[in-house]
Amino acid sequence: MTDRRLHDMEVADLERLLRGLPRRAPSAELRRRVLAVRAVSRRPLARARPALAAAVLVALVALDLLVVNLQDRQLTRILPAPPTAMVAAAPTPDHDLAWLRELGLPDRSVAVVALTGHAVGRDTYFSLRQSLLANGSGG
Amino acid sequence: METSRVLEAADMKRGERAVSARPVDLGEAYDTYAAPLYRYLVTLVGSQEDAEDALQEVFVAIGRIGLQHIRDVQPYLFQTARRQAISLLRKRRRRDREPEVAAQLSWIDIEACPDDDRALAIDLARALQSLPPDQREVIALHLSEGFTFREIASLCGISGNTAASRYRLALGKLRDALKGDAS
Repeated sequence: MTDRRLHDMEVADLERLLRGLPRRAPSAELRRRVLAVRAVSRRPLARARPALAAAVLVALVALDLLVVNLQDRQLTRILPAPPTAMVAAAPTPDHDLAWLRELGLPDRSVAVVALTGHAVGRDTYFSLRQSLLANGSGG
Repeated sequence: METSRVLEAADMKRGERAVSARPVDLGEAYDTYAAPLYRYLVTLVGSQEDAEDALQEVFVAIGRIGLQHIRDVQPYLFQTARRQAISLLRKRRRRDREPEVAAQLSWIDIEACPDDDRALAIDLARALQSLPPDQREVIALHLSEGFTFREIASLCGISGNTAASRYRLALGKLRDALKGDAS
């Protein structure tokens, strides 16, 4: 049998009544459990993150070096050796690469030339430059 | 306790709701929002045990994301709780489970009621449990957690008018159910 107090209750009273009754709360045990689970689940990832970042960085650097090295070898193989007389008479190569861009070469080629200039030495750099100037393609 | 005293207590509680200040860590977020989320989940999933499991999942998910990445903590937590509840209800259809006593499934803490009020609280809890789930959700959010109809609309993906009309409909049904039982 329902409490007789509810019989004549208006909607507004019902609202106030429902607001006034004690409300449930989760058990104290749950708080401990939630925070414990959180601590356990976070720790391995938190520890692994710096090591993972370092490993990724090393891998990227290694990959970059590998690509540069392969490109250098490729360029050295493709480009014909410049005539000795030309090398002897050549000015010191400048590293201002604006002239390469003026040839309409894509930035990637410019970058390869720049890297090559540092990596394979003056002669190859010079021969590449000559080749580029001669036919505008760069090999 | 007389009904009038319950009503006085309700007046004192009016406007009381989870603090919206940004919690600094998971423990503080738990202390601020766990109770309202738990009541909301009990209302949705109809089981205290499942509500605790879902609540745990909510906070584990929040811990994984990191509080600092969440712009509005309270709406985010309630949205996450709602998704958890829906997922849990779907899973539950596939398993058998002993139903809990209807009177234990609302946000009302029957055990905490004074002896004189317990029968009244049980009647109310049963009446709440008899409502359709979408109406029960609106009633719980508005009356127990102090959500505005606009906030309820945003959480449930409905319009403010729909939220308000569900609320009015539910209150009318509650009153009719209680009167019907009493006569």
